[in-house]
Amino acid sequence: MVINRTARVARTAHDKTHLNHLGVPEFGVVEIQIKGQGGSLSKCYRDGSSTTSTAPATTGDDTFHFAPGPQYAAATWTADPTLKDDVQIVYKLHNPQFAIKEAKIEIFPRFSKNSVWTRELKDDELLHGEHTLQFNAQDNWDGKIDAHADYPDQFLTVEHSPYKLKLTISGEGVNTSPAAWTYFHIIIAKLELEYGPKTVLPAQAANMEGGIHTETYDDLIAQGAAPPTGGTVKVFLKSDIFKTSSDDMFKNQLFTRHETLWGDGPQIPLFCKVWVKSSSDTDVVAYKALGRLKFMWDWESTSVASPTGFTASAEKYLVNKTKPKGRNCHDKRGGKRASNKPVFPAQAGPGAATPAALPVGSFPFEVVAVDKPRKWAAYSYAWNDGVAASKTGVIFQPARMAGDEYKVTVYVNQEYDRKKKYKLNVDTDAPLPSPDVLKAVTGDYHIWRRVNVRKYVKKNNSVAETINLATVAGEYAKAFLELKDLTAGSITYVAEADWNSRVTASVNGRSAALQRMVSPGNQHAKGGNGVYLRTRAEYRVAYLAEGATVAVVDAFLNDPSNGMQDDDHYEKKGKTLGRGVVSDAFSPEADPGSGCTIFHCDKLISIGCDLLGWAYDVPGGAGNRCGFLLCATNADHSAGDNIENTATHEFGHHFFLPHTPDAGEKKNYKAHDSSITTCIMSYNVPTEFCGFCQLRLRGWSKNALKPAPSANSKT
Amino acid sequence: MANVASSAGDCFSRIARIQGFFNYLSVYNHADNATTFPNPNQIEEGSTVKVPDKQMKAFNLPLDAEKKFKIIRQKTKLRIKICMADAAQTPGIAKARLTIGAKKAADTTGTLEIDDIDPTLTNASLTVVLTNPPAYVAPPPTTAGVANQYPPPIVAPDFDDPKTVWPKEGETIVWNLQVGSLEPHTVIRGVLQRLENLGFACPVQKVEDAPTRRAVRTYRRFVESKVAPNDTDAVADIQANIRARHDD
Repeated sequence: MVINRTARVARTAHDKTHLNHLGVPEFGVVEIQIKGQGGSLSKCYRDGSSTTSTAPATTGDDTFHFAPGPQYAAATWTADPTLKDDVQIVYKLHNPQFAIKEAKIEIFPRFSKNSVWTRELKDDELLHGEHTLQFNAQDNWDGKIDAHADYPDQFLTVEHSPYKLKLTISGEGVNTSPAAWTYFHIIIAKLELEYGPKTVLPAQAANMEGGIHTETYDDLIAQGAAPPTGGTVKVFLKSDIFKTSSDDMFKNQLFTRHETLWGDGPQIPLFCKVWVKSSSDTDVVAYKALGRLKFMWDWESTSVASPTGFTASAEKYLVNKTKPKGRNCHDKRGGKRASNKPVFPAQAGPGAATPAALPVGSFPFEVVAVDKPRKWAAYSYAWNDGVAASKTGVIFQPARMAGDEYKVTVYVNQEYDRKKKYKLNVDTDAPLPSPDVLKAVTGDYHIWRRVNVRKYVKKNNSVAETINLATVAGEYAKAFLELKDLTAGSITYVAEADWNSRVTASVNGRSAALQRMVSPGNQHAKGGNGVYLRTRAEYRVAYLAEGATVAVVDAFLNDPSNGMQDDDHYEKKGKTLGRGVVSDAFSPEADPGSGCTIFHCDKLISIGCDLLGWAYDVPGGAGNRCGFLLCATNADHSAGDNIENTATHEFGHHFFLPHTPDAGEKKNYKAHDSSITTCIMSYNVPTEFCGFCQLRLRGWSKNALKPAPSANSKT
Repeated sequence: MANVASSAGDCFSRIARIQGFFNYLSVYNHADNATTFPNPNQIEEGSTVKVPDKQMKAFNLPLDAEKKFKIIRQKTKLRIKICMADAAQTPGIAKARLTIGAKKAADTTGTLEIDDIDPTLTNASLTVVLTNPPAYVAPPPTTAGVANQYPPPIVAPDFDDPKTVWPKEGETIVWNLQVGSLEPHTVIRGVLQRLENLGFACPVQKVEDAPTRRAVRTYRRFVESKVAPNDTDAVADIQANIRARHDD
């Protein structure tokens, strides 16, 4: 290029020494840096061939960062105009002859030829020497840029960080340093998980339980106001679902009713507060500095193998094949491992404008599924204004399967390559390689079913023994089912008048032959047995006392069709009668709330009976109330057996568990571990629930399980 | 005695020659001129120069004899020093050629001088080809990162902003020299002309305005390292300094 210049020169007379100095115009950028609060400084770069009479500064750091835009006060989470992290753009020009014609400072994000902000330098901004770029006649810059589609708030954001700030010059002359640049970041300081208010949960369809998600929420809050950072918390799924007839035990109703009740699982609003690191390395709430930053919510199956062989085998199903791997209930057994049902369901979010307050009945944050390969995870986005500014979140919806255990991690998904492929969107096992500040990890969320034990009713205080409910609950705990004792140790005794009137009413509604079996007098005062009956001999005497002839009485008693032909048949008849009368006497005592009521008497009937307990269906229970009758003492049990086992067994029936085949009504019904005979649902001296029962109690589908333990495993 | 109004390109050497003198001192030494024009090489355009009447010289010469008359003509020079913004620095010069009339001078040291120019010529040219700039050298690498570092290490190739266009050849600068047009440093134009000569982007005019003040401010920032807030940025502030820098 040829530079044409004009010079006015003087001649030099013969006796003079005048010299005309003609200067070659020269210029160059010496340096450009960003100064932060507290003395932080970005590092300046030039081409290695660039030279200026003044060398650029060698101080500064490639990790320079600041927090653009306005800030919230952390204590109130509202805007505080006094909080800001303004920085200064400082530059130095070698422009000794003011020969620079054009100069511009631009900001480039990665992988873009186009700058997102440009500032042409003019007039005095081009003077030789040091400058601090002015913004509205001020030295300070808050990170605001021009309107740009990728920066709707006109502030630089974490989303597109890091950035390159570049000063480029041109002019007529020798350009010894055409450009200088520096790099800077907008970075996350930390993430903090919290529970969102339960009011943001989507409105539930009406069901017979009502409010179950909020109840789960309240239970979680009771275990800690914030999500756990370690250890385990229990997610209780209220699950007062009981058989309403004996036939229910021979269906897959436990699974289907639990499914109906809990669908895709409980809903837990997990929020995440996002902090940005200021230039002075303090954590600030720079709510305009996040942009459309993606927060990736990931989950792990952290449940461990059960000690029981059957359950361990079933849990092992494709344990290392699924994404994510683990022992949570597999999709084919009704769970969410390897399922298309999301653990973080998609949410529409607030739309274009954030509302002034959190919505009620709809989730405030936008959530979308991550595309392949980590498609089980989800992205969420933060608000840039309003009450939830600088916050994001998801509805965490683990499967409804008790025993499942989840760990949730939210990552800042910031790093991407030239093809916009995000570094964290891989299908490798968690935890993903991410700096600690870019993630927040919960402890383990352990799913439990919960059944309420509302009331413990004894006929009267003659019933001496009391079920140790903790022992019973301990057995169910093996299946991650909490029997929640709401009795607070209280036992209700049926009032004498109530008992007697109910017995009388029940008896009077039966045939004269049956009425005659009942001992006259105060049934309540007679003792702890359910119904006091005459013996067969007393029956005969009573019948004769009514005026019947011996022939008539004996003919009646000996007639097999009357079921009293001997003492055994008479007792059996009494047992049937006793069930009816005792249930009539106890049922009005059933707690009106959903859950179980225990009815307890010493024996069902006074004339001897082998019935230990009875899972009878409370009238009007509608499937969410049940009561079982314990009608035996420990002495009535075989060696090694006791009333707690009976209580556990009877609860089991209410929870849809049938007898084992050897004791059962339907011997071919395949609902038990075929390798053991001592399931609690057997009539043998029990050890514990078999694995089949345990998995059903946990919510697994009976139809997907097989009695042979090894048949449930697949690797 | 005649009064001559000076025009662009005039100096005492030129005026004297045009008026028939071979030594500018014949004109300049006129009492009025010497006091009005401290520097005979520089005359403010439009000034009035006193041209003395020619003096008759009488010689007694024999007839029919050949006699030689020797006229002593004093030479006029044109001296150029090529420099950088720092006048003490000389740029790398591959080729430089000064041309005035039929006379030429070539040199690569930065100093060009033609010691006997026709003082009536007012145009010359100077072409300077600078040496090739140093080869392009890439910027130093950014700071290396460590595993899982946050903020992440800067990866310079991730940025797609336009790359530096680094020149491969030295610049060629062609000066159109208006010989004799340099006015005294004591006038505004004289200062501005010197600024322009020294490579400044600066208008040459009789009045001071924002661009002249900016040029003066630049001069002071670079040459005098002064950025005093109460500077007037008037050309008067640099008159003496720039004269020495340009003329000596």
